[in-house]
Amino acid sequence: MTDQVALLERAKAYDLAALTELYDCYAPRMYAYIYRRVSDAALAEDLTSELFLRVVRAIQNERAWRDSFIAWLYRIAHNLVVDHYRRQPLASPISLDEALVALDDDPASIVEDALARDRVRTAMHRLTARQQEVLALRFGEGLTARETARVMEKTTGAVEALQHRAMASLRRILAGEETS
Amino acid sequence: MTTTDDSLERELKKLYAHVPPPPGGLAAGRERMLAEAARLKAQFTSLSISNAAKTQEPDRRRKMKLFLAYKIIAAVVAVVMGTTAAGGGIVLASADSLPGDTLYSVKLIVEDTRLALTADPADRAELILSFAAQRTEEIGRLMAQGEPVPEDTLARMARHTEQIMVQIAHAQQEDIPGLLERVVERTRAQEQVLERARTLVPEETEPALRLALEVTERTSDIASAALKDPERFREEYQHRHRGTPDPDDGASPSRTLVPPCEACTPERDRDRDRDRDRDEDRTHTPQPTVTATPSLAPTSMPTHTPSPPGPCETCTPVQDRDRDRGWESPPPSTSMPTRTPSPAGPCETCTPEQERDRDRDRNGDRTPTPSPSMTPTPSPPPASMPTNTPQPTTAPMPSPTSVPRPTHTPMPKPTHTPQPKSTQPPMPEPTHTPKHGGHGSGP
Repeated sequence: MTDQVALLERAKAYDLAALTELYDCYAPRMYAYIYRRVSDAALAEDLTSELFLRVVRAIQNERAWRDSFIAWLYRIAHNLVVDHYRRQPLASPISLDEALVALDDDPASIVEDALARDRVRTAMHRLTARQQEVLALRFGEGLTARETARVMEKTTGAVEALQHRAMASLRRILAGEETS
Repeated sequence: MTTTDDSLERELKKLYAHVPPPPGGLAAGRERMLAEAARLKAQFTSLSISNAAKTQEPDRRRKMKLFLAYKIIAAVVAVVMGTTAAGGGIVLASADSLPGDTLYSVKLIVEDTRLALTADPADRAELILSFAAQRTEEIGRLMAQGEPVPEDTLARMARHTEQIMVQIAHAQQEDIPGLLERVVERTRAQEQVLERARTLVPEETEPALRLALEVTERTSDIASAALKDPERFREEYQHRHRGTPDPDDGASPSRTLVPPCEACTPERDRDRDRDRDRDEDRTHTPQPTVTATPSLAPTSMPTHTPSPPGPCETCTPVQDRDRDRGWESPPPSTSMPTRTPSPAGPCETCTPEQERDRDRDRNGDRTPTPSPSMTPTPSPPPASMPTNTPQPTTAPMPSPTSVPRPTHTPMPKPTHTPQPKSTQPPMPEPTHTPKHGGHGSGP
């Protein structure tokens, strides 16, 4: 923890070695989180790069990250994703090809898995940004409700309620698809 | 598909478990971040140096006068506040207050009172410079504390900056170069802080921040150009803002300058300012005869240069910078400046959404989209536009306002100005104009 604080202090003074260390430590995780939100690898890569630009521009504002640096990163990432969808409301779901390349199972199962994922993903995009965020943090990042609450700057109870509503909505959307 | 929570959770985890590797790797992002860090570090270092330099007062006499004025004002404010001892304490305590603090309004009252009690234009310019520096420092402190920068503070900073040049123009001739140098130095520091603030301010404050930044950049450009010919600067400004500056104008929005439209860009404010000047000239100046030659005294002020068609080298420094940053629409297709025919109207196109998009454009997210209302329209008579007036080739910095000298050289009526051949394209500004006007195209 002390090491982390010292590292951040150095990064705050624009120490390039410290910033490199921070980037190497957190960029893959942030990329994965953003990918889970946008389902587009190239876009996730761009937004990850943009995220760290914002980090370096705002790192002197110590108050923003003092409580939890990773929570701050998740917040910036969320804002970037929201900004992106505000500019370009239509989500571009992942292509089946991408999913095919990623798996080395038998073809039938590949297609089945990809279709199932695509279906859930499409349904996910109909949730609100906050609902998507809570699900990505809880089930994608594996954060506890408490950690999620810290990232989202909400109480644990509020996070649990939001997650409950998100799951209910998702269930409804998927059920609606099945009946239609 | 089952829709129980457990199975849905499993589906979600399965979905989230699949993350392909980044197609281009993450190294490019690292390089981009490190380059930005190096740039910010350099900026931060120069800002520290600039802040250290600005604390040096150029003149001991002036310092004494300021000190005396401060004492008088402190006493006046203390009396106004009722109890002298408590009031004085409050005034002193307010000096370190920040926007949002209870004592901050006292600080502003003290500033306004100091300005109102100062008559000498050079002293007033010094004071206004110090107030602008105060706003800069406050914004820096607010950012460091993670507090939002209030719109009022930015507007006040923009107003101070707008007022400085008028005061300097009315100062003693020997004081002007020194004051101009300080304006250049301080506006640079101000610009750096505002640039840093761009990444941190909330969306709704962005227009005010942009305005403050534009005014700062414009003032910096004017001061840089004026340094090359302080005499001409003085003459022109004194003529434009007839009479001595009003000692009360520090307490209220500028009365010698057209009050800036919060929603408009400084480009538009400037055009509006120029229109006003032109109207005044039409009203008050004798009309020249047809034989009047276009040997207008070119001015050294870059602010009133219209944006001519053609390549970037003909633009004003502000326009160049705007173009670089993607804030402004692309170069106009005619010789008209980038303004709508009703310059005083509200700028309904400058929504925060657009401001944000422009900011993103600056970061290279997408190509800038010209705002339809910024598209030049060919309605005003081209004869009044000085871009069609033959320009003296040896003039250092021709200005389209062509403000006539008060003693002679009356303003030629635009319709009587000998026109270049109609087949010729609109005359761009001499290509050396930008070199005189600014200090680079921003970070």
